[in-house]
Amino acid sequence: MEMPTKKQNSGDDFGFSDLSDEVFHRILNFIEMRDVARLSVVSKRCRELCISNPRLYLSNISSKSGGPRFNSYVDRFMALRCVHGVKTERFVLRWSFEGSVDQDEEYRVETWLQNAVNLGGVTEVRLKFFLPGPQHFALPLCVLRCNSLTFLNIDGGNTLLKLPSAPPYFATKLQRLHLHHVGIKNDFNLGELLSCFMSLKVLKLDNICGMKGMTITNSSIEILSITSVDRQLCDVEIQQLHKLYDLKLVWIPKSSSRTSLKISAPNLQRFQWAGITVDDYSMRDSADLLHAIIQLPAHSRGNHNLVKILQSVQKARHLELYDCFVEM
Amino acid sequence: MSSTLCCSFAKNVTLRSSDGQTFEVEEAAAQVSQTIKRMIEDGCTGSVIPVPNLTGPVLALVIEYFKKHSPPSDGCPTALLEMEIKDWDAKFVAVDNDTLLDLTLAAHYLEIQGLLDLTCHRVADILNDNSVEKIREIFHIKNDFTPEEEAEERSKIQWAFE
Repeated sequence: MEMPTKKQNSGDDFGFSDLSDEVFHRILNFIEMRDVARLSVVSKRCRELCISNPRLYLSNISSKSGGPRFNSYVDRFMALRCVHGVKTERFVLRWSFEGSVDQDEEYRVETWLQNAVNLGGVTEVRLKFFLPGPQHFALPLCVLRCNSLTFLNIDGGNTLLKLPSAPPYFATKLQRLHLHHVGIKNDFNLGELLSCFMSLKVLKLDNICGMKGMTITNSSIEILSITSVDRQLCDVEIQQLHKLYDLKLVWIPKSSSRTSLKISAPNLQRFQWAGITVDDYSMRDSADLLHAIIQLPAHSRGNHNLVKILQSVQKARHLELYDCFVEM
Repeated sequence: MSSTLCCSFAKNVTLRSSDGQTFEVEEAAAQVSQTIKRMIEDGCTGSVIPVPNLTGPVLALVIEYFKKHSPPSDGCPTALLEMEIKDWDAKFVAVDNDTLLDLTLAAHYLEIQGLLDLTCHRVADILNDNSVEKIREIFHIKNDFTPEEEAEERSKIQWAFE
């Protein structure tokens, strides 16, 4: 068995020094920044390992953290990581801008994110913001350009997310993108941005506000979920997603606008749609459909489409219907 | 206990600690360790599997963990069973600090993901709950800062001590 030989447990000299850097870093995953700061006073090795942790967790949510001195500490901490060339594999940020005394806090957070991403090697970025936030948060271009990133999760706490318009060289390895509670300007072409992520397999858009229409064309997507309570969203178009096998739509568009849903996903296996029917509906043949769940109230407008909807899912081996077809 | 028992219903393997103690355990249970799993797959089952990094008492503890966490023979684990295991886990790592570090090392060497998370979390709890001086004492960490260096380090993070 090839294993590094351990020092015999001979009392006082046994202890933390026997733990590998990897195990020490794993322990740090369960420790908040304030306690990481205290730990870095314990010994020189502890200080080095606190700085060199490849998984970075920054949060000012708990009562233990926050305030201008905490922010300055994180500034220094991030600068030290840069100096030592510490690569961040996973960056998790949970940040509340509530009661922020610091005018530049938003800029600061962006800088930390840039510092972490620019050294390369980042595979996972999770951001969560809490209200009352800045009116908008500008996602640094480097995040979307990062060619090692495989998972990006942003929970914006209803802030407006400013996304850079689509230049070339986007995150080509990004496989999972989750956006929750973010506002996106209506004139921003989300579909065009998404189409740059050539490896995207899982796309979850949850409560995206501000967009009237959404067109998704990534042929690599396998799982797509759009759940929205924003009533502005009127048109959803899913174009030629050959690999898509799981589609979930929860969507209640504004009653005064004309609405449409167009789906072209020839290999769809599971289709779940809840909300209200739309004025224009079309779904290209999905021969492999196994499971369809339709939850649409019968009294909503666009009832004339119910037959069309039913026809489109008639090949499903398991069909679950709620509300809608009771009166038919 | 050096020979391997061959039963029709449960295959056993024998593990030997650094101090020569041997333990017999069901093959399925021992495979909770990725390291042992690989060795079994490579055909080490006929003989005794040496575990040179673990002393007898630590290996005995790890085997207790194996037994509790071996996949249930009758299909899916139930929610109730999962809760019971969670309780058992909490008690399992409520040990003295040296044993806790031994278990952490063992979990790392033997690649037992669940045990490694469990022990690391427990160590983190101890680090969170204790002062700098107490941490040095508990885990036998030598303070290699000069008094001046330490004072300077502390002055930078005064907020963390309040």
